Amino acid sequence: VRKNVKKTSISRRDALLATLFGGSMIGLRSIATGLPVKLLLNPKKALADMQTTCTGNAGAAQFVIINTSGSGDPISCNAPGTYDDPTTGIDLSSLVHPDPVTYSWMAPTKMALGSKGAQYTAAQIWSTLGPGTGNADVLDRTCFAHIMTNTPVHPKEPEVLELMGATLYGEMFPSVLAKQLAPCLGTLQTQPISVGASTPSEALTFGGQALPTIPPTALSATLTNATTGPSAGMTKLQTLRDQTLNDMYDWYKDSSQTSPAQKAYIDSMILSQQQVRGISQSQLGLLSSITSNSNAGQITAALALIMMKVTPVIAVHFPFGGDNHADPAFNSEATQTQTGLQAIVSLMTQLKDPSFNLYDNVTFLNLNVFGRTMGPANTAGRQHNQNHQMSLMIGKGFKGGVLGGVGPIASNLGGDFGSLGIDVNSGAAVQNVSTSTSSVVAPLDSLASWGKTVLTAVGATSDQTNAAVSSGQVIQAALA
Amino acid sequence: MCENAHGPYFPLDPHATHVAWQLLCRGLVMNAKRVLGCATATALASACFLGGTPAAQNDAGSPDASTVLPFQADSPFVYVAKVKNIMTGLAPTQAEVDSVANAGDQAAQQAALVTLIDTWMTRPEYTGKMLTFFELAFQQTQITQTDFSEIVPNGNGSIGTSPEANLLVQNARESFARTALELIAEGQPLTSTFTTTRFMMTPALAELYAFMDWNQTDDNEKITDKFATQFKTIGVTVEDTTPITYADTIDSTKPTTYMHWYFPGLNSVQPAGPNNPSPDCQADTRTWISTNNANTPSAHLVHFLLYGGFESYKINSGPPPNNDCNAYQGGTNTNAIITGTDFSNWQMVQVRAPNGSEAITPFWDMNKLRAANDSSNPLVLNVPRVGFFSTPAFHANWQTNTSNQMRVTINQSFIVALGAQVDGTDTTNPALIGTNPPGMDPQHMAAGGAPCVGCHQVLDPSRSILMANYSDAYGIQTNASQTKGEFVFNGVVNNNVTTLADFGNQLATHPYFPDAWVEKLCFFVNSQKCDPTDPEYIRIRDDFKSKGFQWKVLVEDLLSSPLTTNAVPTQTTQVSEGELVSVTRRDHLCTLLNSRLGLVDSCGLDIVTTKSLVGIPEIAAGLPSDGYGRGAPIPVLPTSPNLFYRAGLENICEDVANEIIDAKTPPQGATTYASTASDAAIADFVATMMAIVPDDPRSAVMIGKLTAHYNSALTNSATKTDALKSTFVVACLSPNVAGIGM
Repeated sequence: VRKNVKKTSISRRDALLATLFGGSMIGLRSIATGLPVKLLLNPKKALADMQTTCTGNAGAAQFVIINTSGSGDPISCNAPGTYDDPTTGIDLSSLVHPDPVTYSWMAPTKMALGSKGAQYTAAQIWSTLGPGTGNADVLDRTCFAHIMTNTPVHPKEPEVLELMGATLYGEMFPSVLAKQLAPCLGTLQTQPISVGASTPSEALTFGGQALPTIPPTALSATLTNATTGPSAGMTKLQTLRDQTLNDMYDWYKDSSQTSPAQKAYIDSMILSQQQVRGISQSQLGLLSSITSNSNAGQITAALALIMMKVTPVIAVHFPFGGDNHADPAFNSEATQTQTGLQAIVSLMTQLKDPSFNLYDNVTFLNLNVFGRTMGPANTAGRQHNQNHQMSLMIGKGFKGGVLGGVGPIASNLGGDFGSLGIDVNSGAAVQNVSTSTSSVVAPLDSLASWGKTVLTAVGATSDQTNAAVSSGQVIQAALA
Repeated sequence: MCENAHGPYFPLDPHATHVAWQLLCRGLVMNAKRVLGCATATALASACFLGGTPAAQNDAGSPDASTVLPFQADSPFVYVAKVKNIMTGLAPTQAEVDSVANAGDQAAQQAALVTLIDTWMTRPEYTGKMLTFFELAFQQTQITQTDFSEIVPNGNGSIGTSPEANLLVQNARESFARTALELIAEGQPLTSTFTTTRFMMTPALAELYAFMDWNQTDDNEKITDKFATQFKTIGVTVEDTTPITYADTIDSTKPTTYMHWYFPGLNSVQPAGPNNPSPDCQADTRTWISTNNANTPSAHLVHFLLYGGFESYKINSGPPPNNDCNAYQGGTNTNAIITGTDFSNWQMVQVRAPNGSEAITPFWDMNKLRAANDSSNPLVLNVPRVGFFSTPAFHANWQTNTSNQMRVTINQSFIVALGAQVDGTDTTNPALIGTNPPGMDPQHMAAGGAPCVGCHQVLDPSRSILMANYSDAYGIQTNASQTKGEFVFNGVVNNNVTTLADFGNQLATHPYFPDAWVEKLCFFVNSQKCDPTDPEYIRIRDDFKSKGFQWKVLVEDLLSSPLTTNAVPTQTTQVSEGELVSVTRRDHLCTLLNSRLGLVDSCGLDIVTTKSLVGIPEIAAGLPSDGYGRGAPIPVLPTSPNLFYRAGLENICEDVANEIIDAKTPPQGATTYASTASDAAIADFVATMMAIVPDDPRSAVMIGKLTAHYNSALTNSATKTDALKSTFVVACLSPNVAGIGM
């Protein structure tokens, strides 16, 4: 009977949409809810792919810090591969960069990248990851991947984080990584945490559910237990309180008056209490040192979460110039590229610090909603570039170098400059993909390939990688 | 079928090693079920509990586990508390619960609840809740001072960087929500929020509206500073020699003092120093006369003077790092004009265009702005202000540019007003739109081809309506050749939409409107959508329509409905969505603490008010909260209590306990408890904090558990004070506080 009721009471709007999307309205439901289409179509397999034990290469598992921006910051515009390209020889002299006189740290500078020491030019600030800076070997494990997200619009940030539909069931890539890594790293929770999302569009989801963003200062205030002051007496009674709450939970669960939905909520409270008590208090000093939500605050928060083994994946947002349509003299781009790089350098320095000793355990990634235009028309700001962005990968699992490159794009495809194909074995840019072999990643597959490459670098098996990301291929040249 | 597949509740063993896995499964299933309906979610559940892991199989219990948890009706003890909490944050009284429980049959109980709802609507706490709801629903939040940098031109400092600028931003956030509440109080339909030209403003916000009219940017990024033009000869003089009254400063009949601003302490502005090496940066004379520095006086200069600051931009033209002096606003001027109640005196103000050659309202005349109202003293402005989509907050939130060209603005307007966005699924017959509708961007037709046309043939004509009225920076559109556009959205095409008033009217009459706002309230109340095919939903929506879109009617209907109370099963709660007990997200939690304990803005969410507590705001910033994303018709609503919520709430509860238990100097107006009267305190913890009235069978149980905790704490050598504080924290951490619907 109910089934009939549903049929007869369907609205005109639903009827029209059903026509467009098919009887199940899978597409609309996916759009409306964020739940991935594939999950709707094959839920059994969706769940089967979730892991509770480490089935990948545990020794390669890494904590991941991923920097992401829904603004599409111009981190891509002054990186290696945007001044020259020794693999293609394409003339990139017309690409626009900030004035090196005004901004000395943006001066074009040659730097050796990769095991073969290929010489690329980039803004001088990128060389601070290299020799002579105390971070001598960071560039040796830094990949500059020239890829494209194929979207020029800000609201697609969540979809880009889902690798534009390439991830299994449309899961966000940070959550894909988290599911892979959590059982290998033994973290308290599987879900990733964003400490840097500056807008709800940058917030993460896990299994289609929205995850709260927790700024560093909030994290500090949240996880720190008082051992002095007026709350100290209450801290001593924490165990007793947990017992009372457990009694309360048990009573609710045993009561016939408690509805199943209420019992389900009680269960989630039980879990969260267990997780809280599993948090190591050894990093309280580190948490207490957080005074702002700046880049430095986000780094400290990420380090604390890793040291406490709370989560395998932390999302941050280091500004690199923002949505700089109007950026006279590229002032924002230059100044924030400096502060952004300083943040990465600071992170690497702290990872190496003996008090953390995490340099070989943490991978840093960058993935933005899109890159920005770089051609000569960009004199006082940059537009959205669906055809290019540079996604960083820094970690033990990578060997340094440039993956792919940039070249001119036909006007009917968006114009300006965009990413080229990538030879998966050498990492070299490939101009004419259509005539190349299957060992070349086409620009449209580059985002998914980037995801597969990252998964492989952090220990996922080939089967796991292929299951998690449906298209693209692993760029072997990136792997250490 | 789904409704026949109700297996037993999925029992979880909290001591099992796979609790997390089970909950993960259950969360995924529940999420899928809310979205997908029964069949898919049932399959998902089977996969989760049967095929997920062997351990999960063992823990899952029934292999027939359903995707929609079996429905079980809630009692008035539960749902009266839920509804009052949602509306006010307060706990119900015994009499209130009795009035429903003893009313008779279900219909009578629902009617009795409506009576209570009407009473609760009169409480200030309800106004606060609705303020939060409308701020989010109209997308006026999620902005900071820096978001005004594009729409308030000249760049250097925008609306200012002083603490008072943050007050102004909060005023901007609240303004339209207050407008909606005022219109509702007047008995206007909710659709009037799309067409209103009256807005609730503070004098400070009125100054911003006027300031933005005098100082704006066109599509070519050319700044027009009408103040600079008008006062080019007169100039602006800033001095600290002789006190000048503000009345004299703005009195054009007194040429010796007109536009002479008294600024005691001028010499202290930007003194020389390591970071300010250029002498040109320093206001080192006792009198600064704009025209002496080859500057024209700017609107910014006066705007900042009103706030007690001083802007010396253009004095220095050097490259970085000497550009620190390009903009400066300090709070050193004790003679600030916009202060105190200028940020808290709200008044409905009419905004209208000039009649003929009528002058626009001077932004520097705070006397006039303080007297602004919606009758005799309107704001006379050139920039059109109609409806929620015309406010500075909405514009700061959804900035556009030369490539976006108002597409974000129109899309977010559709999402707010009509609950849907342009996503390629528009139901409009393409034949009605035509192949080349007015305002269509030919580049997207030509370059993108078919995949782009679906969105752009809706977006472009509609956004052109806004482009014909606004520049890219939301100033007045000066390009007379701008195509006026055409309204196109989900079945409605109207090429006679020219002004913002036309646009607002079109939104107000669109068939999507009622469903959009019923669903927005569903999300706010139940943290999930209501099934639009549910007969109960349809009843509520149709009642909303037939009674002239009165908000009060919708609130009464939905909050008394079994969709909210779970008093009897509905299609939504039994079949399609299920009942959801959600985490008490930040705004609900903070209101709860304020309302039940007599605290004032315990979470520090309102920077205008004086806070009760100082430790909580930092934690509150990380609590799950309601939000909206760009291009997302559905709000961002975390519903689960993750470990951070649990840890944060515990620390919040401890902070509160320190303030109200045996406190020597408790916050003014706060409910306090004494360990010398622990029994009474514990009884009140249950009744007031946990919202369990005395006749509720749970009351005695909870009092017993809290009492046992108190006694155990004493046994563990705790002081009476610490024991009672800890007991309060237990109550504060209980599911009845941390969850909505317990």
